This record gives sequence, structure tokens and C-alpha cells, in this order.
Amino acid sequence: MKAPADPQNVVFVIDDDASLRESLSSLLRSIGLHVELFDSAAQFLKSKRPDVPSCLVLDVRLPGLSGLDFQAELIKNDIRVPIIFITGHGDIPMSVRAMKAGAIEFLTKPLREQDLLDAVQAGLDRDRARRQSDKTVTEIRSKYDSLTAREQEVIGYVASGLMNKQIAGEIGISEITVKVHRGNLMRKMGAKSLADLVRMVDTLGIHRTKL
Amino acid sequence: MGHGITVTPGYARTSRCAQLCLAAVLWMMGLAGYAAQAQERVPRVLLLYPYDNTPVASTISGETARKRLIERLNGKVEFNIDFLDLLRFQEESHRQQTARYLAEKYASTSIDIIISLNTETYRFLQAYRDVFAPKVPVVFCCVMRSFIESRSDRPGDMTGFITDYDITRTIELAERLQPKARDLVFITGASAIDQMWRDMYRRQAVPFQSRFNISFMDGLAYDEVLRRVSQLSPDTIVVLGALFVDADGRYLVAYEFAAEIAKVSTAPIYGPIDTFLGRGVVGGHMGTFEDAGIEVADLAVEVLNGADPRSIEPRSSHTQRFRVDAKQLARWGMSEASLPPDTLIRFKDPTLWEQHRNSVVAALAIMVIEMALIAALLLQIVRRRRLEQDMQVAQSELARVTRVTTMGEMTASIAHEVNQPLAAIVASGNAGLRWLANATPNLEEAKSAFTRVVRDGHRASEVILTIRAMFKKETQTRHPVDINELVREVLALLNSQIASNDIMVRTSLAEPAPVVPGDPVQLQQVTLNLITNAIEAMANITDRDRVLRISTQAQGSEALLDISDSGHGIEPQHLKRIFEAFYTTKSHGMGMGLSICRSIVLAHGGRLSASRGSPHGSILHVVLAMHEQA
Repeated sequence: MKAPADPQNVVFVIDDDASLRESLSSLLRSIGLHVELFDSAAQFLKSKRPDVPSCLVLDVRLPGLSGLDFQAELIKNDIRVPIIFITGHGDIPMSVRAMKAGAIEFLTKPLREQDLLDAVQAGLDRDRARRQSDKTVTEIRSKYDSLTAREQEVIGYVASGLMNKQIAGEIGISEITVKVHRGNLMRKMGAKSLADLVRMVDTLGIHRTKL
Repeated sequence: MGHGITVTPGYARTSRCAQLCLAAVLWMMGLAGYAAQAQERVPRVLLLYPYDNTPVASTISGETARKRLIERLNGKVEFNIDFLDLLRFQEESHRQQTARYLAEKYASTSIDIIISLNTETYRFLQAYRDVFAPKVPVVFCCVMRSFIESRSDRPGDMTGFITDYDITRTIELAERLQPKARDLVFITGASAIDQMWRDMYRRQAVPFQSRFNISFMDGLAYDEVLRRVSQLSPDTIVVLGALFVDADGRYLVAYEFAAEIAKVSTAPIYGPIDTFLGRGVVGGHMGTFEDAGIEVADLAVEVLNGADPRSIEPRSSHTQRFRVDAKQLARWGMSEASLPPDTLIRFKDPTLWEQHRNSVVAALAIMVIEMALIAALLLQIVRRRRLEQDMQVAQSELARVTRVTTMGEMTASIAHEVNQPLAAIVASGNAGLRWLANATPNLEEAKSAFTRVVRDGHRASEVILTIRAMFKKETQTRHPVDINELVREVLALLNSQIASNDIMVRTSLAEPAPVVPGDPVQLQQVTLNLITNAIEAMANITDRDRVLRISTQAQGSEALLDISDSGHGIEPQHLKRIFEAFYTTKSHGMGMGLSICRSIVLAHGGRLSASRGSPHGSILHVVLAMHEQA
């Protein structure tokens, strides 16, 4: 089973040991994953990575930059790829630090096949979910941006659960106008219900206007 | 009567004019009288020199007297000085003219006292004093005794200082210095003034006629004198007199001529004249012209203070003595030992000490300081050497500690090196199995996966071989290792750890100390590892003392090192396994320590075992052969 030319997902492997790199690549490819290999963190950073769900298998012990420092670097640069650490002799403080910084798993060598595959799957799933969530937020954001200034004002009050009459009083416009704005913004946001709208507003992190 | 009182106005005017003039003159005279009165308090001394200023003898006396007078009279004294030039102009007419000249010169100056220098001046004063300074008291200086004694006409108001030129004792000095000398030569000048010296010499030479062939070099020309003295036998005694004029009428400066003579003379020169000393003359019996000057000044002060010169007998030198020139003694190879007692040796090169006392003291001080510095530096060097040795010891200890700490890293490194191919093998094996298990097995991928399995298997084995080779190599070095010392060193290294863990150390070390052949570093690693383990084993003991016991013992041909702790002890089922590699009971440990320790001990032909302590804890037993095994 060949990996598709235009991959649905990709697993990055960074390890300075060529033999282990190849072995891991072979193992991951055998279950149909697309794999990209790097012998150093720098090489990974330089590469053009496909914009698909992905995860990173990273040796803690890397020449130059340690795996943990590299993890911190990725977070700093907003490269949000889930990381599976592998190590020859990981100690507890090291794994705690890695996990706290958001690692998927901290595996010791020799790797148990199932642990690795599970971890990789989990990593890909998490990345996929994140990408989906990012996409949703982007959509809602663009809908919100399409609202007029007045509608954006009104949406805060609506999401706070105010009635049209109250909103009219707050802003100083007629209740009829509020009703028109409300209809428009519900349509523009594609909200099926008030609850749907409230969820969208929460997703965007817009504060509901409180009295 | 009327006529008598008729006074012409012209006369009267003239008279009044004369009166005014007279008044003015009187007034002026009054002033002058007043000035003279003021001057009376400062005595005026007339210093008369016989010739010009070249004969230093009279100049020295005169200058000394002048300064002494100024000193004694607190500067309240005035001097007039004249050089009579009686040598170059020996005619009587010159003396008369000079007397008249002086009379004119000092007509309006009141001279309180005349100081006369030299015999010739005294003779001039005897004849002409009354021409220019009648009744002015005279204090004379340096008149030859022979002159005074040859005349009985010393005026009563002339007193002074008589000089004795002691030829007799000068010759006595020469005889002492030249006991072999049989020739005695006197050198004097050719003029009338020189006559006095010739006469004196001839007179004084008489007593020596029996002992010496006496000859007189007088009435000779300058060059002739020099020629003759340059041909004298060294056993000749030459006595020089004052020299004024030679046979050619050439005026001589006595001390300069003396110097010329002394320079070319082949025999030592003597003379009773102070100014010859230091100019090539060996010496003589003499006073000094300075002393004469002082005597004369003091006499002058007495006279100025009102003493009657008539009541003062002329004085003579009491400072006469033998005086010699050390350089001439050296020149003629004369010994100071043969000098008469109380001889004043002049121009002696001062010893280094006398001449450069301060420099010598400074130099010595500098040398002492330098030596102190050198000593200090040497001490510093010694101290530095010692410190360097200490440093070396400390450094080698540090090296040991570094090795000890790298041991942990080394085991981690070994683990990594071995683990890496193992991880690759496992991953490749899994991959291969999966490629085969697929619905359509991918033989190509499976083959390459299994190829990698084989390759990584070899790689792992290579790593092991390398590690073994490394250990083998290190065990080849064998030095005598003092087990007691080993224990002490390790305890010193772990001192802070022992203190911070509140551990009591009990050592019982055998005497004499067991010594085993071995690799000191490796054995130290073993000891350190075992003791560290013991310390760590007691880390969570709170209900009893944490006691670390270490004992060494020689038993037959073996050295025993027991290390025990009061920890929880090792479970019986673990006792055997603890020496296996990667076996650990610690929460964080590689499980390499004891297995490496055992390999090292085994490599030293020894044994490492463990037993349970009583009542608690565990004991590690190290047994090492005390002799190299064949």
C-alpha cells in the first residue's frame, strides 16, 4: 500500500540516527502513513511542510538543540504540531516537562510498536481537530467581520440575552430598527437559533455586553 | 679813634664772607671729625706681603690671619694690603721708594697695627716702618729664627711668630726612611734672599758631616738642578730649601719648582716647608703656615686690645711635627713602620670605608635588603612549589572526581549507544512484520527492514565490543594501592555528602595498611560507588542512626574491604541479582553501578559480594588479591 501522492496526513521524524530514522519511517509507512525524515531540528525548520494534519516524532537527545528546547522553540514560533518524544533514557522530570509543554506522549526506546502507532494516531487526530477548530473560528470570524458596526454592537446585547426593547433603550434607537438589525445579523452569521449565536460569540471570545 | 672804628663796608663784607667760609669749613671738619670718631671703633690692619702673591706660604699665613682676625673681632676690622715686591726689586732704592709711597698712601689713614709676613717684610719694617707708620705696632709672621738670632736689634714694639725650619729633624726623618743613604744633598736658590737658606743649611748640615757625603746644589740654573737630581743615586737624601731665584736670575715659585724637582728626581726629596707637601716631597719636620697665621692673628688681637707689644715675647710654633706624604712613601717603597712616632701621614688615600662611608653603608644596606629580598623570593618559590604540589594533588583529585562523575554519564552514554541499535532493530522488525502481514505483502520493504535488523544487530554487538575493549585496556595498569588511603580519599571526597546526610562514619582500618596491585582510579571508582550506594541506602532512615561502617583487613594473601550501612537492607531474593547489569532497586538509577564495580573487581582478580547486615542494612564485601596474579 503506497502512501498517496497528495497525503491526507504526514508524520515528521527527527532523529540523528539514520538507522533508527529509516526503521521508524518503514514502520509508519507500513500502516499507510506519509513520513518525512529530518536529521536535525534546523533541517525541519527550514523545510516547507505540507498544510495537512501532522505530528512530530522527536528524539529528546538531539545534537545542538535538545528536544525539549526545540519544543519550546516551536511553541514560541506558533508551529502547533503535536510532538511524540522518544528517548533512550528519559527520566521523570524530563517527561513531566515535555508533557506539560503539550507533548502527546513520551516513549522510551526500544519503542513498543503499538505505543508508537497509537501515539502517532493520537497526534494526527489532535492536529486534525485543531485544524478543524481553527477553520471554524476563521469562518465565524469572517462572518462577524461582515457585520455592520451597528450589527456588531447589537450582537453583543443579543448574546447577553437582552430583549429588543431593552437593546433599543440602551442604544437609543427604535425597537423596530433593533429587530431589523437582529434579523440581519442572525442571517449573516448563519445562526439557526439564539443558542447557536451565543456559541459563535463565545468561540470568537467576544464579550457579551453586560448591563 | 674814629679812624680806628672806621670800617669799610668792603672789608666788613670780606670779613663776613671769610667768617661764613670758616664756619662752613669748621662744620665740614666737624663732620669729618665725627666720621673719624665713628671709624675709631673699627681697627685698621695693614697687611704687608714681601713679594707678590705667588709664594703661597706667605699668602696662606696672611689669608688665615685675615680670616682669623675677622672672626675674632666679629667682622669689626678693616684691612689694607700691600705687596712689597722685594724679590724682583732687591735694591735698597726700591725699599726706600716703597716706604715713601706707603707714607703718602697712608698719610690720612690711621693704621692701628701692621701684620708683616715673612722675614723679608720684617727686615723692610725694621728699616722703614717709621717712614710711613711711626710707632704703629707690628706683629710679624714667619720670620726665620736664624734671622732673628743674627740680629739683636729687634724693635721692642715688634712682636710676632718665629718659624723654625728644622733641618736636623727633617734629616733624621730621612735617615729613618733611608737607612742606607750615605749622600746628603741640599738644594737652595742663587739670589741674595736665597742666601739665608744656604747659610742655614750649611750651618745645620755640620752635625751630619761625619755620617754623610754632603753636597750643596746652589747657585745653579733651573734646568741644571733638574738634570742633576735626575741622576742621583736612589740612596741619596735630598733636602730642599725655599727657592726664590736661580743662577740665571729666573724667579722661581718655590713649591712649583719643588714639584718639578720631585718629578724628575731619582732620589727622595725632603724639606721642612709645609707647602712642599703634596707636591712630590716625602716630608719633613715642620709646622703649617695656617697655624702661623692663626698665631699671628691672635697676637694682633692682643695688641689691638691694648697689650703692649714690648711685653709680648715672640712666639714660635708648637704645632711642629713630622709630616709625610703617604703617596711619596708609596712611590719610594717606604714603610710607615719606620716613621718616627706621632708622624702625621697626609694625602693617604682614605680607605674605602673612610672615603665612601655613606656609600658603603648604603651599599651594604642595599645588599642586606637584596639578600632579604632574595631570601623572601626563595621562600616564595619554596612556598609556590609546595602550593603547586598541593595544587597537583588537588587537581588529580579533581580529575578523579571528574572521572567518578563521568562514570554516570559514561553509563548513560553506553546505554544510549546500545539502545540506539536495539531501538532500530525493534522498529525495523515490527515494520518488516507489518509489511509481510499486509493484505498484499510488500516483500521489497520487508526485505530492507530485515536487512536493517541484521545490520543494527551487528552495530549493537560492535558497541559492546568497544566498551569491553575500553575496560580491558584500563585494567592493564597496575600500581600499588593502599586500601586504607583509598578509603580515606573517598571519604574526603564525599565529606559534604556525608555531613549533609547526617551520617556517622565508623572506620576500622587495618595496620599495616593492606596494599594491592591495581588501577588506583578504577578501585577508587569502586569504593566511591559502594560508599555512595551505602549513603543513598540510608537516605530515608529516620528511626535510627545512619551509620556507615568501613573496615579493611588483610587476610592471608587477600585484602578485605567491607562497607556496611544501616539502611533497609537488600531483600534476600535480590542479593544475587544486584550485580547484574541494568538491575536496580533505586527509583532513579541505571542499574549499571554495581555491575561495573564487579567487573572492575573481577578484572583485579578479586570478588565482590553482598550480605545482609545485622540487625539491618547491608554489607558489601570487596576482596582483592594482595599479590599480582600470574
